[in-house]
Amino acid sequence: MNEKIKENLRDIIAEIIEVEEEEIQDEVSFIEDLKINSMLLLEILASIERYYKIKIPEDELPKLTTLKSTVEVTEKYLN
Amino acid sequence: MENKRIVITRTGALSSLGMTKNDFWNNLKAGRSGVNQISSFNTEDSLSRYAYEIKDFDANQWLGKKGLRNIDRSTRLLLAAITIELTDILSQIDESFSPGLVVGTAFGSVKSIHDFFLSALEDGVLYVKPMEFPNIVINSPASHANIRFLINHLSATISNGYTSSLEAIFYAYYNIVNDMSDALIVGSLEELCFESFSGFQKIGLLSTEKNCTPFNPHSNGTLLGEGVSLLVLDSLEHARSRNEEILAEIKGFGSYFSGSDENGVEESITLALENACLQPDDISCIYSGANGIYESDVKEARAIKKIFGKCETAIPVTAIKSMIGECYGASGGLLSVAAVNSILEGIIPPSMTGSRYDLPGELNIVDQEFIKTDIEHVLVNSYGCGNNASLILSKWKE
Repeated sequence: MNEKIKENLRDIIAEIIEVEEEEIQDEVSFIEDLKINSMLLLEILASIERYYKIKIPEDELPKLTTLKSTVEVTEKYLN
Repeated sequence: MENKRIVITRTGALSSLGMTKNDFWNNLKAGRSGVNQISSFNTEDSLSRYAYEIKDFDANQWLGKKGLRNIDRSTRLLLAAITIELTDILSQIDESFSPGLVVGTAFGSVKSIHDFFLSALEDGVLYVKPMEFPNIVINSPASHANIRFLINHLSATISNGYTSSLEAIFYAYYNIVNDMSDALIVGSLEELCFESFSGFQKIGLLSTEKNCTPFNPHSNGTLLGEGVSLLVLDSLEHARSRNEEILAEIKGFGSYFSGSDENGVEESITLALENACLQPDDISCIYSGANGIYESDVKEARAIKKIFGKCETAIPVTAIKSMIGECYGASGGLLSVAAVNSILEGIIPPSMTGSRYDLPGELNIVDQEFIKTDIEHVLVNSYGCGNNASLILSKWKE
């Protein structure tokens, strides 16, 4: 897992859901622990696309369940 | 006017004169202006650099620290005003008290619309922010307020240029008269932003001076303001059932689209008097819509002279946009809040235009200091770009 990408995504997610970055640990659940709903998830996806100027298909959305899985999805489309 | 009586039970104002209705009214009475050099956007390339801006507005103070990221300034102003003035009654919402919300605004979230499409142009349509999309409709501020305060009964936005807020009051009035609602919160809002400012400037309506001076033949335009007004309208029966204090009664109104004709204000005033079943002599004071655009100020002056000129005593006229600026869609609402205070206290605030000008109508302008007088009926005028609206508010009597 690319550490730089992980830190970038942590910043992006923390800003969107308005929590401290420390709360977003690698395997903390977006839905159960961070209470991220579908609209916020869509915004996270759009912000990642915007930041890296990539396009991630929306059928990848269900895979964005933790910071770790979000990094994996992002890496897939960056490569 | 209909037999069913519609009364005003609450007011609110957030403006360049302060965060509360008391700030608004006390500063108006004292003749204090909210004008200042514009700080929210760059005016380096502009000839006009002053406006009536709400300074030091901290939305977090009123709305909390979270959940505001995707809420634009115009919506924040509306939410803050409702929080400041109406929290107590909104906490009473239940089956017996379920108000709706009607908001008058000309531009609504024009800055959000601009930002969204600028982002699409600069970054590409694939990269627009999805959470910013809901903000680009003109009913966005009202809808946000409905969601936040659990106001389920009604959500409506009236956009009609300068007369938006008076038209919103008319809409709410008829909604209650026709038994569709018992109580409605009528808000008005307008934010100061570069997008509307640049448009006003380009069509030559903005003054290069440091003050807005209504009825001044030397004025070269108006200065913009921003703000939110609130009025809670109840049917009389409903107000009594809630034990709310009745502040004033809505007596009549008139609305007229005149295009470029000269007689628009005259028509709306005449229609309002007929609607209220009142004679010109019955009016105690006039809240003028004059804003320093001399050509239109003069049209109102002529209309007032023609309709009220035969009255035994010249009716006092006040033009408070000298202190709050041209708040466009919110102006009529803010003038109405001031008018309710005039009725309650028997005070007409000054116009602070600097001197008495030689107008075609030779109006009795309340100029440097407020005057104290018994006030029965107040006429509020709002007009511009062909739209004309007049509202008559009256002292409450059984």
